Amino acid sequence: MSNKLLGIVGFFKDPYHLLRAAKEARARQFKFCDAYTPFPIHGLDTILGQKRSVVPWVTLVMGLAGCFGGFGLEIFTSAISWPINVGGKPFNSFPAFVPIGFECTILLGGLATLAALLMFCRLPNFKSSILNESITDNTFALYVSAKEESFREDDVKNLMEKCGAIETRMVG
Amino acid sequence: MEATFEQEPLLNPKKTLTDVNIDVCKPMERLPSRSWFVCFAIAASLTVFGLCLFVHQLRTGMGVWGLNNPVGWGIDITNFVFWIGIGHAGTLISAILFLFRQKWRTSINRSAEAMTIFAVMTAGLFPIIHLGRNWLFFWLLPFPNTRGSLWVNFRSPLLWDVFAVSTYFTISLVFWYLGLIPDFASIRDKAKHKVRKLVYGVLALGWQGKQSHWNHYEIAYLILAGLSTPLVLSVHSIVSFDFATSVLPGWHTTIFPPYFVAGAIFSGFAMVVTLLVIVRKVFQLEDYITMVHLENMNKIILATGLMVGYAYGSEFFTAWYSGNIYEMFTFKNRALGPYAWAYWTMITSNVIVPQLFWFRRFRRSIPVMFVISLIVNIGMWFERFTIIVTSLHRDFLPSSWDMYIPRWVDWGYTLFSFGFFFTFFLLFCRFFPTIAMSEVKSTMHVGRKTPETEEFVF
Amino acid sequence: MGHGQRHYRSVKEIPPVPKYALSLPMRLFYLGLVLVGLVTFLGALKIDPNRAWHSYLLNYFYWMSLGVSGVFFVALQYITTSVWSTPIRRVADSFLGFLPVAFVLMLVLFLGVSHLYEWTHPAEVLHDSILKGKSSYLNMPFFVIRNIVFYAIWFGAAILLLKNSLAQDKNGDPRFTLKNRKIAAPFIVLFALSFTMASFDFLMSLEPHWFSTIFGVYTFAGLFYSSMAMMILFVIALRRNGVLAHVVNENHLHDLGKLMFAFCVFWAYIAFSQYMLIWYGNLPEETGFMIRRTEGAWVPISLALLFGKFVIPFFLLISRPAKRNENYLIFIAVWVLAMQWLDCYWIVYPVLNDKPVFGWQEMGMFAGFLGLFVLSVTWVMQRIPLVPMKDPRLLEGVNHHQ
Repeated sequence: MSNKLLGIVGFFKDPYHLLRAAKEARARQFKFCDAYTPFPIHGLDTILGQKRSVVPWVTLVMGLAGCFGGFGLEIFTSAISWPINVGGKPFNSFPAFVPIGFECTILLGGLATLAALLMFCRLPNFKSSILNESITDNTFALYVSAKEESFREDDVKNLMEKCGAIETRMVG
Repeated sequence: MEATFEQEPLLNPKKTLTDVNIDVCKPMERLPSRSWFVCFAIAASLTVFGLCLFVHQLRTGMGVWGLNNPVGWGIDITNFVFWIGIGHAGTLISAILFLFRQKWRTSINRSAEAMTIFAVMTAGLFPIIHLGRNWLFFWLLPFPNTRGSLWVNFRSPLLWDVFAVSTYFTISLVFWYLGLIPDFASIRDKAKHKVRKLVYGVLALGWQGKQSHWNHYEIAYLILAGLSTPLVLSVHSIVSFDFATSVLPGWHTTIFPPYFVAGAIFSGFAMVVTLLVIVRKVFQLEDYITMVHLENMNKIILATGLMVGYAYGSEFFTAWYSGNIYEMFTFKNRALGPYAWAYWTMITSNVIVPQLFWFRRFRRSIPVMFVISLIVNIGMWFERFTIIVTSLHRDFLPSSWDMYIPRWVDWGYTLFSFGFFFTFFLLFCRFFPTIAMSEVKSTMHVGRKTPETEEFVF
Repeated sequence: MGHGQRHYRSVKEIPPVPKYALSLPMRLFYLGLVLVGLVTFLGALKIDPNRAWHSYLLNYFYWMSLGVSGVFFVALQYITTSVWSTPIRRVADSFLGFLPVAFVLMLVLFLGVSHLYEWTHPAEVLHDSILKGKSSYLNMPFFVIRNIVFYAIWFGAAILLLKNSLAQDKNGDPRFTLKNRKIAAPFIVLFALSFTMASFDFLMSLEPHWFSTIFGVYTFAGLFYSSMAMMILFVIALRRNGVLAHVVNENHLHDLGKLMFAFCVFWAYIAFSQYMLIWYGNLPEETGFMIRRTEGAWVPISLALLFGKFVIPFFLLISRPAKRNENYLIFIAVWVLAMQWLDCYWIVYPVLNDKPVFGWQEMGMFAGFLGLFVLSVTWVMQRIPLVPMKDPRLLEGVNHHQ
């Protein structure tokens, strides 16, 4: 493990302090900073300049696949593979196929949503160490990476403290 | 009433973020109380009793049920519809109220979703128990086989059920688990014991609360809510199709889908109220599951009860309006025939009793709501019983009329279903956080003052 | 946040809301439409009275639904204690202006019942045991009386809700909001019953042997769906001419769009339930209704309804930016309103003719009703403040964000 500084993290007890710090960090054009919070905070994504998630597109595509797959299976089995007359209904009883077609849409769409979320977040992830155990409790953290162009150790530390950080720590 | 317009705080305003973790995790960190063990023992023995019944049924045959021609569906399907319906409130709270930005849902969604999952599990057993050759249940799935391939009949609403119920179970589980991830992480970080840390750590998947993760997480949560909403409507609609696609008077009517959905939500909310009144007391969560939550749920019970009443009226009116003598007879037979006691139990419990919730005093009284919620549960059970049995026992041909008298096996399975459900629910209360901690934290500011100097953010 | 949306710290910061006035050319334009409608109606009556009355009924039901949807929307906002809708609530309130007009239109409709309803012909009823059985409900006096009572309920509730809200404009007393909540709850119950009966009366009894228990829910789904479209058009128009410019942001539009989307799906759900159950049961007394509409020349109309009212708007509205863009929303709202018309057409016209007919009779009378609707709604809009400035929820509603 080298002792190269990877970044600086500031811990806050108040979401408003975190938001202030995040705004300051954005004002300095920091691109790689990320926050850690016990619960989602509205507006933080835009402050940090994060793009809207693409999860919906995965859902849409897989949902449509489920829809076509479901109807395809029904029509194939009932009208092509072995057509059987049941109760005088047509072989391709489309109205009767809607419920299962719908369920397949939801099933595939829903499972794909979870899969996409885990993929985009690279979870499960048991390797990276936890910054602070109280982040999942009541602590808010802002991480500024040393990769930033205008990164200056004392400046970032100053920023954190000015915004009300209770502690700053070097990560390295 | 006071003429004030301050939003009533959802939680006890003195609670801080840390308190949420401490209070919610408390029941999981100490040994269960004696009463928990007593309840669990009762529930588990009922489950074992059910297994014995099933063995008895396998050895003897379906004749152990009180079912016979013309009533081939009785308490088995009543229980199936009843438990599926119970599940619907959980999805309504977790998905529909989420889409409608009802912040009060955060204190109750976790336990309601748990209830959904266990109720669907319970319900799913009944069609399988009810099969003639239970061991061939997998014939319900479309897989290539050596019989042709002989496929399943996709035109049958019973098959739609298979897909609907299994999709509902899967998606509810995914949704529930998604909500649990940040909370598992909280427990992991709070845990002192190694095994505990490991187990919850694995369940949390390494969640760290990163903003870039929350970003995806929130969207995924929103989408699953968006998918669950039509899903929940479809599930009970499909259950209603089991009846409505037939040509039997009293079953074949177009309002069945929305009517069943409203009834499901109605009974489900009654069950949530029953459970939460107990849970908040036993686990000392009165500061989190407050009067605001209970009152709102009672309002929903009133609203859905009215919808159910509307459907009863619409059916009765149309039976007359249609000029169909069989249809009219079925409804007369329901109200005045040999099962009139079940019908009037249903009307009293579902339409008349919930009207008490028009009064704020009753909506906010724990004993009143507890009793009403029990009555509604009973009423909704009888609604399914009435629909199923009265339509079957007297149809077009008077020569084939007969009565259905449930046997001890029928009732035994009903008891078992409660035991099975509560076994899981009690385990859930012990090992899982009964309140969605991270979601509660995100709504704690409701009804509290924003610091003067800060910009409005949430 | 981040949409350049202004955040107000107090109600005083909100710029004053200008009064709304319909410009003279526009007023003349809509008056012209009314005139066109009147001339068309009279002309059509002369040529083919059956067709004229069916067209009249279609338009009557279409616009009556929109008129009554306003008070329903307002009542719904009160009982759900909703905040976001506070700055646009008066738009829905104004729809009550059309109710007296619709009432008069209904009285006119009563003159044409014999062209529309088989059950109004005593000779036919006498020889039809089913119609005879229904005659204690389907008879002219009861039909007239109950529908007059419905208007009393709708208009009475609308006036009461608006009056309390206007009274609140003077002193900001939150008690008026609570009062309105108490009116709204029972009103919704009465609304459900009365609107169901009205749709049974005007539409379902066109084919008096047919029945469907879900029919009231079906017409209600159409009502709310088209109502959201109409609300969107009015809100955008008022936003553009400055009245709501400072109090309505794209989050409000987004919510209206979401409701429209939700009811697009809800309508499809109800329509499918009704169609599939009747198709599956295939009982002669029920299935005739569907066969008339899904076979022969009516197939294209049914398919157009399926795609136009559900599939296409579903995909048009599914994305987030779609529900936040004014021009796009205008397009979809107009589309949805057209499809609602098609839905009413699908219910009413197969009774008139084996084949779909469309011509100057339909277009002209639609224009006439449109003129009446806009004129009567804007008449109210010009006479009330369009934003309830002292509503206790206004500030939060104006600052509505996500």
